[in-house]
Formats: sequence, structure tokens, C-alpha cells
Amino acid sequence: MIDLDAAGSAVALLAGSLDAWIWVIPGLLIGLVFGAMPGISVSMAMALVLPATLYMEFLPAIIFLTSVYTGAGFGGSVPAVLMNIPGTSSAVATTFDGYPMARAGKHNEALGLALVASCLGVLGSYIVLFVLVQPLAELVLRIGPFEMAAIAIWGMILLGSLGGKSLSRGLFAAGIGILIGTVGMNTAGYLRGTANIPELLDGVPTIPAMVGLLAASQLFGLVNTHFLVESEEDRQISLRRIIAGGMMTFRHPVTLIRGSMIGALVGAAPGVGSSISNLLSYAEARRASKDRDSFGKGNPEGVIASESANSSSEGGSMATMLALGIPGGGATAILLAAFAMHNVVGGPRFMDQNRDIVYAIILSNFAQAVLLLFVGTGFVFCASAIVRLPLRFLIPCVLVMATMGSFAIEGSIAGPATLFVFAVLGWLMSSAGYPVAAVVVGLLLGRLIETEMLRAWQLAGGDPAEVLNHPAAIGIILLMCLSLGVSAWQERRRRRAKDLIGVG
Amino acid sequence: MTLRRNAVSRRTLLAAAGGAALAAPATLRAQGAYPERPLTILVPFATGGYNDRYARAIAPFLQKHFGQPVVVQNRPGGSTMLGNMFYLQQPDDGYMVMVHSAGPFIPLSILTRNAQYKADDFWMINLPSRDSTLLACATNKPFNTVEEVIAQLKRDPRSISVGVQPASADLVNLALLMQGHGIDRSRMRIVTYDGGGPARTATMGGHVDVGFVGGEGFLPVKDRIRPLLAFADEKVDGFEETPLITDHAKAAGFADEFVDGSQRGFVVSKKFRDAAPERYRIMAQAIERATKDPECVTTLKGQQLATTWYGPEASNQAYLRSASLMEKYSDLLKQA
Amino acid sequence: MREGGGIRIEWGQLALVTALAGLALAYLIDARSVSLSTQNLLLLQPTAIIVLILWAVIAYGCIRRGETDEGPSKADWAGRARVLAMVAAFGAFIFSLERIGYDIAMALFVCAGLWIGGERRPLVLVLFPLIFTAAAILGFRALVPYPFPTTLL
Repeated sequence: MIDLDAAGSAVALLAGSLDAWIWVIPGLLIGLVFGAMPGISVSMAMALVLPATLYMEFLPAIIFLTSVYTGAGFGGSVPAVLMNIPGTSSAVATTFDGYPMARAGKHNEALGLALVASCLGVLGSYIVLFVLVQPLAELVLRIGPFEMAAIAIWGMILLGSLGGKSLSRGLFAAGIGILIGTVGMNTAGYLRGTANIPELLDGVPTIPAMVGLLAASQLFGLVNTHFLVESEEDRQISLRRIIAGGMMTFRHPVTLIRGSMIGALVGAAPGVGSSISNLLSYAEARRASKDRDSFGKGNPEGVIASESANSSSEGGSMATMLALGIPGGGATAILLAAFAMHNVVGGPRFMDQNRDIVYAIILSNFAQAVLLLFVGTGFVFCASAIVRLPLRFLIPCVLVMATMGSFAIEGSIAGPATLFVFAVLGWLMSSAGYPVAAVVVGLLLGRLIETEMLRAWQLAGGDPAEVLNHPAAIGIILLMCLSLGVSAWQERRRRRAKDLIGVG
Repeated sequence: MTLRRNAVSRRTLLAAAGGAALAAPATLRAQGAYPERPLTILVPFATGGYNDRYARAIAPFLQKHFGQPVVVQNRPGGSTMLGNMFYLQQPDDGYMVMVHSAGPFIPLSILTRNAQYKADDFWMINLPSRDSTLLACATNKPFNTVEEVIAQLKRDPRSISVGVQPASADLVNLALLMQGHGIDRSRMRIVTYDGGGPARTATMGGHVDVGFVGGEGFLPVKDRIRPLLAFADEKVDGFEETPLITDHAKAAGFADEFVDGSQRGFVVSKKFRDAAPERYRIMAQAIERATKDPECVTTLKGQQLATTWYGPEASNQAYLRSASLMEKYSDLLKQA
Repeated sequence: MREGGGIRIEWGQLALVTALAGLALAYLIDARSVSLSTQNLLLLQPTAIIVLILWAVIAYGCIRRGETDEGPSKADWAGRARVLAMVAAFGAFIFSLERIGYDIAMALFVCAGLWIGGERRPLVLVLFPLIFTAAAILGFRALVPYPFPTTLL
């Protein structure tokens, strides 16, 4: 499956070109900085540097852009951990445990974990890509509405009652999230809930809503606190603890590998992949864990699960872009635009005729993953300085940055307005004991579930038996039932064992 | 209501901001030293699509002939409705021009999203790129010709699943074809995709049996699909072998009406053309010269972008014809 | 807050859950007025109905709950006032962005935020917002491809 001749000439191509290397570190840095800005997404960072690549050779240009991609992919996790701000929808699950870790004074460890899990995720997905680019792309192409709906419903069921005081409140929050997620024009062209506001045609702007719900509402609650990390001695920034946190990643190889697999496969599904893969991986890690209750309260495994999945989505979506010419999301669409600017048409034919260049891009990404480890450590070290900043400075500044980031997404006041509405909603709901994270999950998955279920229903012509023609979807549903059954059974046994001890 | 209020606040703001930074554009307008500021190309789509690539590729040449820097701004959302509204709210000073898939997006936003502007509020300068709806299937599907698809649909409308975008030119073409053959569309299994990309992926991946979607996006993956019918009256670039709807309709004995999939190029507002004819002339001339610039032609050709100069007259004619056809068949766009 | 075995209603809780359920109901009615087709209501209608059922469960809980949470103390009220002030300041900031310009709105909001957070040194209250605003405005202008109205910068 590996074309050795082409791999050889790819190595020669990279070794012989200094140009292919000098852009990697600047690219990673640009990506990290932009990705860490709330609201500035991976694709926006890439769009901003796109004009500069016009004057480069083809290979260095693509390597520069993929460096930005890799850097920005991790950059989004830094504010997720430190301030509960998911810079992009693919870092949502990172906030669930990363932020509680930071509040508990384990920000160094959390960032180290996130970094190492990300690097390994990128590396893992590109190794898969290197060996299996064609089969991976074919597999991703097979994920149709039935399969995607099954995956999304699985995610929703596992995350439906995330935290919160009671089950009814958890479900209520998730339901509200789903309803918000379906506002606007649905995939069949029905327009509802927009109240004649044209900005709502495409639905509620996801990123401002998410940042408002998770971060801004948190910041309001922190007004009476002096520092993000309460205890003085924990407020240090320590390279040693960052590295120690990174080493922790290796203690959870199963979570890491599962996250990478979910990321490479589901994350690669065009359009929606990366925003669901981190949630799914998180949900699975939580389900499989013996210590389920510690999730959401600062369990390192949660961070690993989320980060390994969102970073490995990069390799997956590169597979569909390189092998099929399908841009899975904004970032790969920009890569294809960069291809076009250099008079190269991406797609199967490019792949067949320029295998050496494709391999060179993949090999360069191996190097990028390794370099990210070093550049990222330095970046994380500097960024974590904000825990030392008194909150009275931090709160207004972060709110301003979040506002500007929301503006930057589409350049209109609709972003900041959404941010405010959802900040107030999030603040009210969290102070009344509703799990805000469930609203976010509903918001992200609601639209996806509706779209895919609707297409499945249309494909079946309203006939439920049609699902029998989609063995993969049935497989996913069976797996879901099985895994839920197993965990319920384990739970019962554990409880019974506890009762026995109590009795004895 | 919200619309109008926004317009006022934006404009007062611009004036207020301009008062300090740009020293009252109104006085300069009177002196008519046009152009003396950078020109913005507004693209009502996200980065990376055809319009965006076209705008960015032609920008350096437009800059050369316009004599001022040219910047590209994206304002996606609401299937171009947000970008269109934003554009109409800008001052008619000739410092902003759109690169747009004017047909079908402007008429569609009016017909299906209740947009408050009219199709002839916009004025085409040049629409060099035409994209046509293509009926295609994945290579592993059992259809080799459009006739096979039609025959099977006639036997049982539910036997084939069809992928299409709702509220699109593709849907109008699908509806016209089915109407022509007397096939009941409400009994068909029509699967809707919110975008050409997803519809193409679904066709290519075989999620649906056949797809009706713009052909151009299929070019890079031509080997993986089988084109069955093109909704155009002349050969489509890249799909020269594909049968045309005009011939197909003639053979089957129904009217050969269809709508263009996409008509893309430079668009301004009618109001600007009427209010500042001199500035409009300068702008149109710069666009014409840039489009005809031999260096520009080679660059754009290399990126698979269209470079023909049709001019305002032909472009507006094509745009308005497609808009009125769309209006005529607007009930076909409505949901059951 | 009333003690004893009587009925106790958590008005704040009840108001929030009712408002949200009311919005869900309004949304359902709006969607049904667009079309009754399955293609429109497939996910929306069942979800809205579940939300309304859960409203009944939660609202019942708000009324019946017998045990008493201790009411907020005086210090708590001061804290709450600060939170409310911050929410209001943020709202005013968003509302005024396009009216008085991003720069002035930003400087005022940062200053207000510092004050609410307990900063009282005049020099800090004046200098920090100015420096931060200048940095943020210039930085974002370089980054963001959209113009935003400013009054002074």
C-alpha cells in the first residue's frame, strides 16, 4: 500500500529543499497564536496567510499551510483549558475536564496532557494516512446519512445528561440545546424560528453561542473571585509540571488510541466531522471508565480523549482532500484553493500522478507533529502566565477578546450579540443548576442529527425497514446497545458489590 | 424593519468614523477624483469557493487597471442573502463591487427566503462563468444513460433515490425534467443537501442513486462519476460527451426549458450605476481591461477560472432571463 | 426561604424553566405554522414535546420541595450585585459597540470591569483600559479581514 519509490523520492524532495523546512516553525507559531484567539478558527488563520503562499513554490506553500493547520488545531485547546473558551467547536470536550483541572491548579499538567495528546493524535493520523490514504478516504466516503445519524445519536445519548443536579435538568438542557441547534433553514429547505432576523437563516451562530454559554457565563460567576487558581502555591508556571503532565498521556494508551481512531474516521467525515469526533471520543472514554463520576471534574483522561480525537481529525480530512479532492471543512477548502492558486487541481488524478508530493506533504506533517511538541511547550509555558493575572484584569479583557473574536467570524455585530444573549442564558442556567455543557452538546449535535436523520428518512422514503440495507448503521446501533448494556451491567455489579460491603 | 434600522445606523456610523479618519468622503465625492481609495471586492461566500478564488485571482490585474489597491472581503451566510443586503446598504461611491453567483442566488433568495430586494436591484458588469446542472451517478451504479434512469422512474418513482439541493436551480431543472416525462415528483425519494459539496459527495459516494448538482465541482473527481445529462444548450467544458437537455427534450417531445446552474462574475447595484454613471463607466472599463489582459487570461486559465468578456448587456440579459424563468417556476421550488 | 412544612416555591427557578419552556413552545408553534410536513418536524416536534414534559417535572419540583436551602447572606447579596453589574456592563458594551465605536466602548467597558472587580487605583483605571484597547484594536485590525467602526483610533 506504500509506494516505496514515491516515498523515496518524497524524502529526497524534502531533504533537498530548505524552503520546505523554513516555513514549518513560523507556520506552527502563527497557527498557535491564531488558534488560541477565541473565535479565530483554523480556516481563518489559514485564509489570512493564504495570500503570502502565492509567492512560494508549491510544496513549501502547502507545507506552510499545513503547519498553520497543525498549530491552530492545538492552539484552540489552550484557551479551552485555561479559560473554558473553546476556540473552535472541535475543542468543546477539552473544556469539560481541562478547565476544572486548571481551576484546581493543575493547569500545567492539563496543558502538557493536551499538547502531547495532540501531537500523538496528529502523528497517529498521518501514519494511518501514509499507509492507508486510499482505503481511508474510501471508507470515509461510505459514511452516509444512516451511519452518520447513528453516530450522532450515539454521541447524544452518551452525553445527554452531562453533569448537572438531576437527570431532568440535564435532559431539559440538552433538549433546549437541540431546539436552538435546529433554528434556521433545515436541510430540506424549511425555514423556522428565525423571527425575521436574516442573520438566523443559517441557524444560531455556533461559535459565539458556544463561547457565550461556556466561557462568558463562567466569567460572570468569577467576578467575586480573585484568581483563576485559588491557592497561591499552585499558581506557578512550571516547565517540569507541563512535562510531567505530558508524560501522563502515556498512562492512558487505550484512550489515546481510541481517540485517534475516532478522530481519523469520524473526524474526516466531510462537513461535520471534527466537531463531533471530540465529543464522541470523550463520551466513549467516559463510558468505558471505571470512575465515570470524576469526568467533568478534572479527569486527565477526558482531556486526552478530546485532544487525541480533534487533532487526528486533521489527518483524516487530509485523506479525503488528497485522495478525493473533497474539502471536508474550511481548512481543507483553503488547501484546495492554495492548490488551485498554484495551478494544481487536487483530487484522485493529482494523487496518482504526484504520489511523491503527497508523501512529502505527509512526511513533513510527521516532522510538524514532532516540532509542535517543542514549539507548543514554549507556547503553553508563556500562555499559562495568565493564571497569575488577577481576575479583575482578566475578566474584562477576556470578554473583550471573546467579543472581537465573535465579530471576526463573519464581520458583523450578529456575533457579539449572540455572544451576549448566550452568556446571559448560560449564566442563568448554570446558576439554576442546569448543565450548560449539555446545551452546547445539543446545539452542536442537534443540527447534525436533524440533517442526517432527515436524509435517512428521505432515502428510505419513510420506510423504516430501509435501515436493514445499511449494515454499517445497524452495526453502530448494535455496538451502541451492547456497550450501553455492558456499562449498565457493570454499574449494577459495582453497586451490588458496594452494598455487600456495606452489609458485611 | 430591522433591515432599515441597520442601514441607517451603519451609514451614520460610517459617516461618523469617516469624519475623523477619512475627512468627510462627501466633499471628496463632489470633487470626483475617482478612484482615490482602495476598491473592495465583496464575496458573499466563504473562502475557498469558486467566487472567492476568482476574486482573489483577478484582484492583482484589476488593481493594475483600476489604479488603486484591490482587497477581497468575504461575507457569507443565508445563501448570499446576508452579503446582498450588506452590499445594498453600502454608499454608492463605487468603492465596492461584488463577485457573485448572481444567478441563481439572487433570485432564489427572493423566491425562497423572502429577501426584500428585487432581482433588478443588481446590475451585472460581466458574468464570465456559467456552471450547468449535471445529472450524474457514481460509477458503481447500474445506469449508463439518462433514458435508463427515466424508464426506471416511470416504472416506479420510488425505485431511485435522488440527491439535490433544496431551493436551487438544480431542483428547478429536476422538476422540469420530471414534469416533462410525467413523473410524479412527490412520490420520488428526493434527498436534500444543503450545499453543492455535500450533494456531490453523496452522489460520488453512492449514498444516493443519482444526483442533480452543478457540474464544475465534479471536474477534479470526474473519474468517479458517470455524467448522464447536462442542463445546457451547448457543450459543457469538461463534459463534452455528455448529452444535452435540449436534445433530450426534443427527442422526448417536451419543451426544452432549463435554468443555468450558476452565472458568476462582477455585480454592482443598479442604484450605483444610475447615481454615478461616470464612476460606473470607470469601474466597468477597469474590469473589462483586467478581464482581457493577456497575462490575466493565462493566470486564470491555469487556475481553471473563466475569462470571457461578455459585457454588461449580454450578462444582464442572461441574468434576467434566468431570474424570470426561476420566477415562472417558483412553485416548483415550494415544498409539498 | 420560608421555614416549616408549608409549600415553598422557588420563584427564580420556576421563572427560568417556564420562560425556556415558553420559548420552546413558541418555536414549536412557529415551526408548525411553516409546515406540518415530517421533513420539517422530524426532530423538532418530539424534542419540543419532551422539553414541555420535562418542564412539568421541573416546575413541580420547584413548588413541592420541602427542605430549605439557607437564603443568601448579606455578603452574598453584595457578590450578586457585582455579578449583575458585570452582566449589565457587558450588555451595554455589546450594545454600544457600533454606536460609539469599538475603541471607546472597549475602553469604557474594561474600565468598568476593573471597577466592578474591585480595582480603585485611579492610574490603573485610566491607563490599563487605554493601553489594552489600543493593543486590541490595532491587533484585531491587522488580523480581521472586516472593517469595524472606531471613533478615535
